[in-house]
Amino acid sequence: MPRLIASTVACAIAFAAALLGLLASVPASHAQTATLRGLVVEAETQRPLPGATVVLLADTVTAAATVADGDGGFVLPRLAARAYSVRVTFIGFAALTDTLTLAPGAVVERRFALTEAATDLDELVVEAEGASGIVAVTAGVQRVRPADIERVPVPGVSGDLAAYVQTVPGVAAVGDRGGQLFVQGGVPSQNLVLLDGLPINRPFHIVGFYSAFPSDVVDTATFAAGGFGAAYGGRLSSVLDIASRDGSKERFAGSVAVAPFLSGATVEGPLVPGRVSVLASVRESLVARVTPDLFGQAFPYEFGDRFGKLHARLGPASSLGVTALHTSDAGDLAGTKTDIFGDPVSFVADDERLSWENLAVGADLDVRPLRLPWRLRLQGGYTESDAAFGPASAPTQTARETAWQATATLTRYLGVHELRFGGFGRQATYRYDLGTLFQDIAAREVEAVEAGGFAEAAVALSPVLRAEGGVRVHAYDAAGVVSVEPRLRVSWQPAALPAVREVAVAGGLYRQGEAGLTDERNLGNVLTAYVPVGEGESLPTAYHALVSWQGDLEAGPGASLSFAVEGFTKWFPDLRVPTFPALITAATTLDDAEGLAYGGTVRVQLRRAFLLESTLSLTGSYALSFTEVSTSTETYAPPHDQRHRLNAVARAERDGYALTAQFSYSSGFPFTPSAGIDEWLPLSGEDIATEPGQTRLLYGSRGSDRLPAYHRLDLWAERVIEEGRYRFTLRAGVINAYNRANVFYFDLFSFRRVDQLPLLPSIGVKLDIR
Amino acid sequence: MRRLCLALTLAAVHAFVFAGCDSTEITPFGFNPFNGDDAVFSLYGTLDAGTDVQAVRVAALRTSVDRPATADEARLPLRVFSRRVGAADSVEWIQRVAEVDDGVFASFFETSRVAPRARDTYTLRLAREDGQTATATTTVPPPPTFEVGAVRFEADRVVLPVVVTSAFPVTGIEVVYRLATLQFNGNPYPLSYAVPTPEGDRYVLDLDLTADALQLRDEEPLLALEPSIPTNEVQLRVRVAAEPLPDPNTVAGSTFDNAVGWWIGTVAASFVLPFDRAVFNPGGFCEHPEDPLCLPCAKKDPRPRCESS
Repeated sequence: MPRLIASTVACAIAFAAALLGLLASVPASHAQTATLRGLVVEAETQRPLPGATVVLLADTVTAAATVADGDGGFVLPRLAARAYSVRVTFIGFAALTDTLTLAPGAVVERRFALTEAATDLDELVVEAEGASGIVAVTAGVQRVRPADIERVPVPGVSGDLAAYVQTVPGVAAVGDRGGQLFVQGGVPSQNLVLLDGLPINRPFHIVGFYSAFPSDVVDTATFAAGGFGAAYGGRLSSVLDIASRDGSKERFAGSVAVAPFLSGATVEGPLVPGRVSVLASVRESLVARVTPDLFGQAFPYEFGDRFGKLHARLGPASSLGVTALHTSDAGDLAGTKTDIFGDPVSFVADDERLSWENLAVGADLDVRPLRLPWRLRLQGGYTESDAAFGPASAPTQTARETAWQATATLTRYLGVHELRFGGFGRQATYRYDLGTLFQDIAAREVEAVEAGGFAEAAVALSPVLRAEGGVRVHAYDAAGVVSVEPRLRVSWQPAALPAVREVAVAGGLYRQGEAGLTDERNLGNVLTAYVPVGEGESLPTAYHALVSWQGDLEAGPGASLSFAVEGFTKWFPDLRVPTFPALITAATTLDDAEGLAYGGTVRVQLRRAFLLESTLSLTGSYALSFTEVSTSTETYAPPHDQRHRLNAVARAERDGYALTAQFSYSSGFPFTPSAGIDEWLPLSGEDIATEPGQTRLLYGSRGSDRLPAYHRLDLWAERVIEEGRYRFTLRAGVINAYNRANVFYFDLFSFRRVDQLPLLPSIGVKLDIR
Repeated sequence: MRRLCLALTLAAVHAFVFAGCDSTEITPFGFNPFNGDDAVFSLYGTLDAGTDVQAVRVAALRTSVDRPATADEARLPLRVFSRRVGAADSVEWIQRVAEVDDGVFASFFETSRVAPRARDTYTLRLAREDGQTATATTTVPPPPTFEVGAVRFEADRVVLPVVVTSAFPVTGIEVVYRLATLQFNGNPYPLSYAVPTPEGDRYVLDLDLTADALQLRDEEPLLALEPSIPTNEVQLRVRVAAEPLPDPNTVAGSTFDNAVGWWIGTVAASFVLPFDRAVFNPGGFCEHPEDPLCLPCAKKDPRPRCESS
């Protein structure tokens, strides 16, 4: 099998070398023009400002313009050699104007540092919403900024990426506990979540409002619900790619937040002023330790995360970052004991204790040579992830994955075009012991190696039409398969039509080298064991096709209404799904299956000034989706087939006060009904008078019924006081304001109903020192 | 106008929200987790044409894995009747509660007043005191027929070729050995054999007899000298049923109404195969010519052999 990897790597290297040679010859043809490239950063913290606009003016006439990429980088190629004035703008920052003269053949590197400015906030926010937020979706892909995250309050004081992502239509969370997100028909084990390039297998905390990534350390996140490019692979459904902040290189800053659910502290500052910074964050849940019974209910969840990053500026446009993350979670998903009014909800059982941990350590080297239109990025590191189910002293099921991985990406800027290609390698060890859960899955330790490369081109076919196409070659040694996966994305941005800001289509072929095994019979056990696909088995495969349309509509003076409409389909021709044997002591088996998910989403965002200086923003989304799985014997709706989902967030702000209301509604998830429990007797000759029989659960048709609809209203009030470098935030609110008894799942083994979180008040304070 | 729009919007939201509220809170769980609401009883048993006492095991469907731990918990407020289809009278079965495992009790209904006959159809009716009823129906199949070939000795096994013919599913093949060897006391012992896939209504069997058969062959010359040793034989029992045996992943047999489980008419037929010298080999065997008990060897085998007396 190493020969498979070796030959794949050799092919990838040869391919890359040929491409490099081809590309290296290109600049000669542009010797009479010049190139301006560089970075846009925040002056105070030196952090990049993705989305900043760089406009080059020749005698007050716009000669060229571009928007800084996710790392604040920009390139303006093929410029006429002459004098220009440059104007750099970004939301919330004072515009910067500069002049420069470009000589023929010159490649000029500039770093623009913008300072924060007090300007008309309404105008700024309206502008910004075009670039991020849930309406800024382009065929499944959207960029998430900390400001977007903060608009979706969670218990505590800061926002969280997990809560934000759950407001994205097409994303379903079966429960408000368990940390499981289903994206456009995919299952959690098909999501790829990256932090600074490091894959995190169990990225969400056990209480579903929280991810392992504090919003204070998130710089930007790219969320691709489908149709992602060739740079990403190894997972079938979605990508959440998070870039952490670098930390300030100018001065020390930090924050302390205290809230019963999650308290934490963040500190950042220069180790070597102007060159090396550190950013660290610690968050721990206190509720189970300090207040085991919160308002009369057990809340047996302990979780937390520790993040650290060192970032060094190696040169004017090169940097090295070292990131480390550790997360921990433990609790019983059915663990809430009584609601706030003392009514019994369920009980805590040690034999249903679920726990998981993640550890990731990695480095990110970013090199942008001054004189060359290239960018080289090397990312790599070590990750490990453990999960266990059962008593803490002797869990009945365990899963552990460790991996070393590295990725190299080379970007070649060709004017308004870009070429990206790269190579990657991953060596992983999987250890799993699922007890008697699966009939054919024995406890094992398996090693697997993956390697390959990708090539991708982003081409501006015209000023309004852009295409990105690529191919990924991914070799899976355990399966003995080399997968060739084409990807394509086309977007049309007719500037003259506000109602059509962009229309985009995307699609591709995706494969995954590891299967996520979960016991779908017991939704209280979300333990997922990753198992590499073996030789002779078919790789799980998915085909994506997405189309989106986003635009703006007139909404009256001072108001902005943005919308996006999206359609998606994902076809999974090769899946393996667990069966539902009726005998409760019987191990489940895996069955070959085919999956299909399709649907559409509508997103609306309205921001309007009202009552003097106050603003009101409304964000709403609706998703209609269908997911089905077919085996050789049945077609059924899987547990995450959420047909209707509506989410609305209203936020009013004035003079440091903010009120937020969030309402979410979803139609019921599929449910497998039961006629009850009996003892099965084989009647094959044994005496029924002495045969004890085997207890069996009388399942009805799988997924044939639906749980009741889910709806919940959360209300939050916030007060912010700013004084110089200090910013004090008080946030109080309530989850499930009208104490709706939403069903989480129904445990057929005990005929026990397990509910989502009941009415839950929360208060938190946070002090930021900036 | 704006106020009207706002009011309509709020009304729509209100209707939308509360339309999602449970309107079907018909169980203590707040919604109905049951697959239908008919099945109440679990019933298991056979209507066996070969036994004098008929019995079924009946339980109430539970919503917990915990089984009845006392006789009172297992006892059902239930009466069970059977009737042959076409006959006027029905027979009431008698309830008996027994411990089927340590601390686990079950309820049985029995009768000795029913003598099932092949090809007759019977109905069992369960009637609870509150009026809840369930029924099960089954037909007693005719017994199968046999075609038994000569025992075949192979290198390391003894094969009994049998062809069973039955229009109903063969659900059990059992061979009861009554073999007396020098190492075995001769008490009958039964062994079950897998049922092969039928070819139409024919089941072609190559029953691999036990190692005792080979042992018997080896010892046969000695046994011949001991007339007190009982006659060796194997008894082949084949059972057929009105329908295939219970599959745990299928909720109930095909003729159930308002109950889960299986009640299957069965009949068994047997064939006794004498297993003596005549069956083995009239020439007898002896692989130990030096043994003083052996007689001069037969000529048909070039190797030195003893002739049996």
